[in-house]
Amino acid sequence: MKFVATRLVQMVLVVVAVTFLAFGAMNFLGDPLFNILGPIASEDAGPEFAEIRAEARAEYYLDDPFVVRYGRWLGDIVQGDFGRSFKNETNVSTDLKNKLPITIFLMVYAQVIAVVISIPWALWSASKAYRAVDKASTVISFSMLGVPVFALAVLLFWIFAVKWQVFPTRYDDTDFFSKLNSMFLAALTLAVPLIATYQRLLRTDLISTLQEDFIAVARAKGLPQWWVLFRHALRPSMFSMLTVFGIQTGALIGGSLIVEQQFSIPGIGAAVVEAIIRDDFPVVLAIVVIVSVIFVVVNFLVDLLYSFLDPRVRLDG
Amino acid sequence: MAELTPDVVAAAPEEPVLPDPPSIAKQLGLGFWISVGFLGLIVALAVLAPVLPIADPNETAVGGKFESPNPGLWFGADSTGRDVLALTIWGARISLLVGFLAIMIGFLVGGTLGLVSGYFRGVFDKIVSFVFVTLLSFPALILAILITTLLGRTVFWISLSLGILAIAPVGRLARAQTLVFAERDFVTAARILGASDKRIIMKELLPNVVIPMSALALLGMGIAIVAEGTLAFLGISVSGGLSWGKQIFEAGSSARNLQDGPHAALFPIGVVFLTVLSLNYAGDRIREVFDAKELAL
Amino acid sequence: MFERRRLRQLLAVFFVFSLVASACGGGDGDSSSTDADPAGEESSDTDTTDAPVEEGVDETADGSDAITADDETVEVVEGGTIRMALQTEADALNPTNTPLNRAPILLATAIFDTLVVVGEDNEWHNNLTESWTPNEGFTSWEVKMRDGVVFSDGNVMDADAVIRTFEAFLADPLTSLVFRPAFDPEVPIEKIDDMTFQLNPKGPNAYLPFYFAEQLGMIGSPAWLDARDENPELDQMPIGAGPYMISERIQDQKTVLVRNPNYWGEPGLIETFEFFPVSQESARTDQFLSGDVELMHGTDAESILRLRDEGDSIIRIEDSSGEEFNLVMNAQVPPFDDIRVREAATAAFPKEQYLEFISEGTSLEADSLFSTDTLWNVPGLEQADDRPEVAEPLIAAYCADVPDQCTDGKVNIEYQTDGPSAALERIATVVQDGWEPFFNIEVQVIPNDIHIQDVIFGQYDVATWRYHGFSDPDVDTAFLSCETILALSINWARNCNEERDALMAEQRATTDYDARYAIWTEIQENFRDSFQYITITHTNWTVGASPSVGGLCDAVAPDGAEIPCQDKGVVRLPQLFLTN
Repeated sequence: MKFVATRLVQMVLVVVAVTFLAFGAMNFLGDPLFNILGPIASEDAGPEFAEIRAEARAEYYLDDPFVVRYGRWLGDIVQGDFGRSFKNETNVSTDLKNKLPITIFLMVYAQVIAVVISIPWALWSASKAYRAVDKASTVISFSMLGVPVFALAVLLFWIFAVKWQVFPTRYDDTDFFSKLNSMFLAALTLAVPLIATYQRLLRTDLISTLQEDFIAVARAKGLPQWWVLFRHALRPSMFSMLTVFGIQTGALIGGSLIVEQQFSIPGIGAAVVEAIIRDDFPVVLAIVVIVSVIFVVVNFLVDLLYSFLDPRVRLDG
Repeated sequence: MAELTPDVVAAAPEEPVLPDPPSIAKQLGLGFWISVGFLGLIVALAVLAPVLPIADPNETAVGGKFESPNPGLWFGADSTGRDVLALTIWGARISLLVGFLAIMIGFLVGGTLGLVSGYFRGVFDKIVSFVFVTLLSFPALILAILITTLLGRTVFWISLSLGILAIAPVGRLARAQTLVFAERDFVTAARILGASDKRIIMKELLPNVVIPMSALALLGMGIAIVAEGTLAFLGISVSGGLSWGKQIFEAGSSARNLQDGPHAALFPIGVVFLTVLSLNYAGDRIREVFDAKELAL
Repeated sequence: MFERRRLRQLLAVFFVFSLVASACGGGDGDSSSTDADPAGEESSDTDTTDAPVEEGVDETADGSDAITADDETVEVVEGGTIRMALQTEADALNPTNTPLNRAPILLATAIFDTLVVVGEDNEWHNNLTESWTPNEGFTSWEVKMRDGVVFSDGNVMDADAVIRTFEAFLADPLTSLVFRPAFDPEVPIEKIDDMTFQLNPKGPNAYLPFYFAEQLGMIGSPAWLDARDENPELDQMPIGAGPYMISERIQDQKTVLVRNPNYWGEPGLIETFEFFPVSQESARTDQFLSGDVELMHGTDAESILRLRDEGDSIIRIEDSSGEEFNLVMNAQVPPFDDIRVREAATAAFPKEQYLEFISEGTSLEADSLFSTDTLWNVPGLEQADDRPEVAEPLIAAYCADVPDQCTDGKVNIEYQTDGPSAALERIATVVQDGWEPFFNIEVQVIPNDIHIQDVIFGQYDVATWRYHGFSDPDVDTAFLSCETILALSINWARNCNEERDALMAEQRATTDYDARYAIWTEIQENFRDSFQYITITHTNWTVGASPSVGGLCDAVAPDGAEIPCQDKGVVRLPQLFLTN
């Protein structure tokens, strides 16, 4: 439990550090008043806006020291209040409540596709290790890593949604199936590099596991090959894949910026790009914080799972 | 990055227990050398772009709108009649430069921090490790977009923002490697012989850490090139310049463009793909070949 | 009281314009920053474009390509749902404090209706009003409201309600900036009795009702306006007296409209409309052509060409009568403060190449303010572009006089455009290629909001811009007038010309078309000779509809006057229906 406690503390510290950096960036890169008001923030815009400037300074406590403002903001977000959008004063929390589930759905969807494809593939290629088919499959998975996500998104959308119209061109959430159907290409785009990563890691680990004695024993018992692979070899071979699973959450978030744009999915990926471009900092901050928390929590859970599967980790702390 | 290869080869013989130094080139395999050859070619073309007999990449109406590839225009023309080959070659300059600068920044900052913190351990190490974790927890692409939008869409800021993203992964690897080697006999020996910390870091640790790092450098460059492309795809890469990402953004931005002039998007996509593939492959080979040795120790 | 947070956005799109005008347009971008693409249009298609369609028949603006939804077999089915992909998401749908560009105008027109509507005949017609009566010299207008109009919340629309909305417009520091110049600064509006009020224009204005055909004519329920002062989120859920009302709105995702049970006129035929904001032009077309939405609108060349490729299998309606895409040059700062530089830039502008590579025959070439689709076009009035030989001596002379604005005999300029947008980058490429012999160009791609702000504040050299487009040209005169050149200027070019101001005031008081046309001819000559804008093309707003959508061109004003099938992308909803 000491391990869990240490990791928890570290997790909280990391989140605090991330929020501090993000809030600091918003405040020190550029003039916060300008970010709120635009050009009328400048005295040059004329005296008729002086009152507005004063009101904004008061409302956003711009005359307080940075640390005080940070503390106030942090206190608000802990209570789930992310403030109002500069763009149209809607409540950022409400907005994200609509968008975040879509992005999470997309990420989970991509992970599921990746796992469902990569595990059988890795089992298969490990069982044929170093044969021609395995080498060919290694080339394929390697190539999958080289394809830029944005190019893949463009091409998949063009071919399957526009040309052949196999999949819908727009996000559709009328029911679970239409959600799956309309997000399939986007999830697949995100999944492609994941599939390759998982397949490569798992294959390597499987090959070494397969040389262990207990596998030989299982084989000697006359168990069928697929059973040996699946039941005996798979679990002990999944450590590297698990570690990477957590880290890949970050990559997925990056990828979601692109696929949400390309496939018109109204999630936080599309929203954050728009918000950054429009200097809508309450939205940007909210998304940065949420995404970091997700990332940190996922990695924490992965660590827990990892230590559960492999007790030695706990000793390393 | 092509220059890294000779370094690697040169550094190799210094490895204390290399079983069979002369065969390294062979161990790296044909694929590695093909990759390096391709990268060399791209770099050469990029460097020589101003003197190559190619069209001015900014000149419109060199060909017709989406003119197909032909003997006069090898890669065809894009939507404004620019020469796609010239665009791709000139685009390589910014894409490669950004990739290279980003990874350099990552190495200078992250590598140094990792090496020093791994060697000295203690509180400094704890702080540095925490910084790395924090940086890793920051959504990378969002950070890059943020920096670029706030500070400006120039090669420098884009490289810097991508470089910041490289700090943590590079630093963590450097630290891990340092930890491994700091325990080795030759380091202990040097310490007993009274070598200064600086000397140990520079002469004993650095050369050994560099090899796995060079693998990471190649992989990282691939990532940085794609990241630049991603920024360009979102419309926020280098303002007013040419890059592969921008080329793909412009040519692949609509179904009709893809229909009428697929070549304008597919050529740069293909070049990015091959470049990233070569970087990944070369990096992976280095890692594999030298990792194996590590294990043999 | 207004909210400062939104100020800058107000600013931003505001000038885009709206309020009064319609239009859209500010920067090219009225589409959201992610992909404007406004410009991509152009003209000179061989077919002449003949304004909006004859009614009753679904026909394209270019008369040639008329596409009809088979009238004989049409079977009107009441109810059903129509889905539409819109060019932009509205920041909010409150006309009194949010500049609305075309997509939000479409929504707001259905939710609020407007005091007057502009017909196919280019005249205004009473809609929510009963009558407009000017005094002798057009220095005041008495407006009587229609009886029996109630808001969807049950409140009555009377003179007080109109005044409440009008005052909300005035209370907003930025919305007022745009339309205040048209009204008497002391007493712009006064109540006469419960159903009658009086408007006082600044100086004689025979065209005042036109100002109330768009955003300014959208009246909100007083109860809603009061409530929204407490809770700004209500800006997203407006309450008006139009045929439809909002039932659901999720930002950036969808807006759902259902029939207003309290509507005073014929209720809408369609039960539910679902609107999706899709800012990428090509994505909107993809969705439409794949059958994922039944209606779309757009302005970019590629989408229009794709719709044209579909031929008769879809309904396509084009409208080039409205806004214009151009480059605006800042007359207040060097180097464009010198008319020689402005003339040289115009002369060196590579219009031919633009037409060939960018607009590909989808929109009309622009030589002045009005397209051939309008009543005000002056045939033969041509802008002197594509003449680099004219530019050469001008630049040489300028650089001799003002060497510090030049390097190597070329003038140093910043070309500012908004983005990210592939189409705008492409335009920059073409412009750069043409100007390269005379100018050292630094291209700045800037987010849409900031781009518009920079132009409003005069912090630019030359910028891509969209301009103009109301049914009556008087509504647009604020953008050319000296009076509006302030710290925040809606005379974007900051080009003051007293003579032109006098002409504009004169036409405002002239009711005779021929006399007015003559004045507008002079204004346009003045406009051309002062080189403030490089006019490029007249935006082609194209609406695409699936063949199952009927009634696109059936909208009429209460007096029976026909209303255009679409006005710069704005389609009216209540008369639409689905066929089998």
